[in-house]
Amino acid sequence: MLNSGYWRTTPFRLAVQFGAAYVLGIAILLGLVYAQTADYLSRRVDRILAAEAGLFRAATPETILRRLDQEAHRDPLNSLALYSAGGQKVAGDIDLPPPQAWPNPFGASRPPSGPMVREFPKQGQRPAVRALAQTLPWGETLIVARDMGQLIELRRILVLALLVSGSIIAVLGLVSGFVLSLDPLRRIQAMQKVSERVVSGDLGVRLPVTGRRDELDAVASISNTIMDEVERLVVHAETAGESIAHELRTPLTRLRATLERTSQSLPLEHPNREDLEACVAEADGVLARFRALLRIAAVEATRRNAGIAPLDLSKLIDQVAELYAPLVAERELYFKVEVAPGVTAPLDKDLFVEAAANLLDNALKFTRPGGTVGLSLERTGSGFALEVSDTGPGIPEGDRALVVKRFYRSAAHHSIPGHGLGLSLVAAVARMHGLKLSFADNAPKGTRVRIEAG
Amino acid sequence: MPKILTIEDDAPTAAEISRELVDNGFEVDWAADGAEGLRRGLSGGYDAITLDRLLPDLDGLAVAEALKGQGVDTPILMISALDQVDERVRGLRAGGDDYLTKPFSPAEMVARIEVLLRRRKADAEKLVLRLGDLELDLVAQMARRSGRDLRLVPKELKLLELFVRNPGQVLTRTMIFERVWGYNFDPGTNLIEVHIRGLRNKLELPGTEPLLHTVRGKGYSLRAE
Repeated sequence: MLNSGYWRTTPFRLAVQFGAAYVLGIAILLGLVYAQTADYLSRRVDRILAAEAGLFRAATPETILRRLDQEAHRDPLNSLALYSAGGQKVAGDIDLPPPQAWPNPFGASRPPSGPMVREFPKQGQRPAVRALAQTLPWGETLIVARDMGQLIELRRILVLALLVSGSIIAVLGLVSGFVLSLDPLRRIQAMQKVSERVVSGDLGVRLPVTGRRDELDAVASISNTIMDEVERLVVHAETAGESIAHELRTPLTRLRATLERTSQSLPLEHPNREDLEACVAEADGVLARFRALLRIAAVEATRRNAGIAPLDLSKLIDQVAELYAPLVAERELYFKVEVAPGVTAPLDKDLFVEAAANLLDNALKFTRPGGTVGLSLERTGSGFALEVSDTGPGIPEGDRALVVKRFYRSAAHHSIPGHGLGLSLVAAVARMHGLKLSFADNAPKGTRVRIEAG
Repeated sequence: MPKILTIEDDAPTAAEISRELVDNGFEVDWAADGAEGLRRGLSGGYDAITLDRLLPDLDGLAVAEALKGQGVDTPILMISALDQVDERVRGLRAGGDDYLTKPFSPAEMVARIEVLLRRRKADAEKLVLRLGDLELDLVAQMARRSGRDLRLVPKELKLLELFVRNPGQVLTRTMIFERVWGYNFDPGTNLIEVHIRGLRNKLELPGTEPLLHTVRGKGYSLRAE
């Protein structure tokens, strides 16, 4: 879920948000610069236009054309034109709509009393201009226009600056967000791996703490403290069961001995003898559970590699097959044995045989006469795989994780004798050897239990 | 009457052991710690010793080593609550002749003591063993009853040898599993039972007396009536 989601990390999101804020800030800054400059330039142009128009204040209908001619080339940025009262252009070096047609906020019915100033965009050869129209006392209209190219250029520069700096910031934001999110992402992935190991039962591992005292370290430390406590409680709970078994088995052994002695001191036909023998059998059952529980604890406490030696596994499994063959035959089952020759592996012989025997006992227990019990050993890429199969009722998918738990017995099989510790022992032996224990369906019916190196 | 020395620091367990042994016709002396046990063991005069593995001060392993080191060949049954996988090996290496894990059934302990006592007397070098009309030839790997070949497979021969070497002894299924197959865990009831039944079917020819008997709640015993 975290594998490709670097854009979901906090550093990435923050970097992008900061980038966006910077771009917005720069846009506002440049916009403000532009607005202020444009306003300043417009007012300056307006003053120039008014001054230029003022030059014609003394003109009369007779002198106007000459004045126009005189002023026309004084400032190359300025243009002049004269329109008749009817809206015809009389003279001048610029073509603009007749002043009567200039946009008038009050409508055509109320012609403005003073001079009008309007802006006209670039059209054909004519540059964008700001123009002042001044109605002369005799009805003609004088138009003074000034080239606004400067302002357009300024706007172009500012917009370009905004685009360039904005895209650089955006790219920088994305890149730095990505780079910044790599490290936390790596750390989260490391944490995720550790959590998976915890979930699969390895309570001894802890989340990595870098020592940078950042927020991830804080979270890891908190989780580690919780896991310490969980581990302590689990160990406590597990060893509590073992301590009870340890403490109770001696008095229980004495109780059993007394019951047995009493039962044997009675004549065979005595009415109480049968009850006493049932008590002895019951005590034996409890002792068998204690023994199995302590055996599992002993296997779990065994140092890894203790007692592990290279072993001719093919020969060992052949011997196990020989050991079980008469029992399988007696149950009227077919025994399918497939042992690859020459497979060796470093194993604790006694424990491994005990695990295999437990699997075979289970297979025998759950298979009806006429069924098949399979025992196979194959060589695999990583070593070997031992498989015990049966054609019994099978283990439902949901029970597979539970069957290795101590005292777990599937609700469907309470009629079949057992104490629910056999597979726990198998799991403990597998764990001690670093082997993988798995369950699968044995199509069309039954279970396949596999212990493999890898 | 065979004399047994019980070295055990826990008084109720010691009482339980000696009571069971006395009931089975043994004479029992109790030593409550390792030093006392070693002193008595060295003085001789015992037919077998039960030795607790965990003792205060002088530990069971040290006692066994000291006894064997002094040339005492009294068979020792080590009794231990430690059932760690490699404990048995350490116990046997130190000089124990057999190893029993607590909790044990009294019958199991008695059976093991009796086998230890027999072993002392038995001639381990004999290669042709006889019991009644049964003859086991270990060189030829052949068993005969009333002169007829029983056609036993190697495992059955090994199983029969264990019984013939301990005639009349009760052998428990863990003892059988240990000595014939060499595995040290409880094989459950049925696994050994079915092998015994197989051997019994081959031993008991028509018109012969039963030889291999089941001792209920304890184990099996080979004896000619």
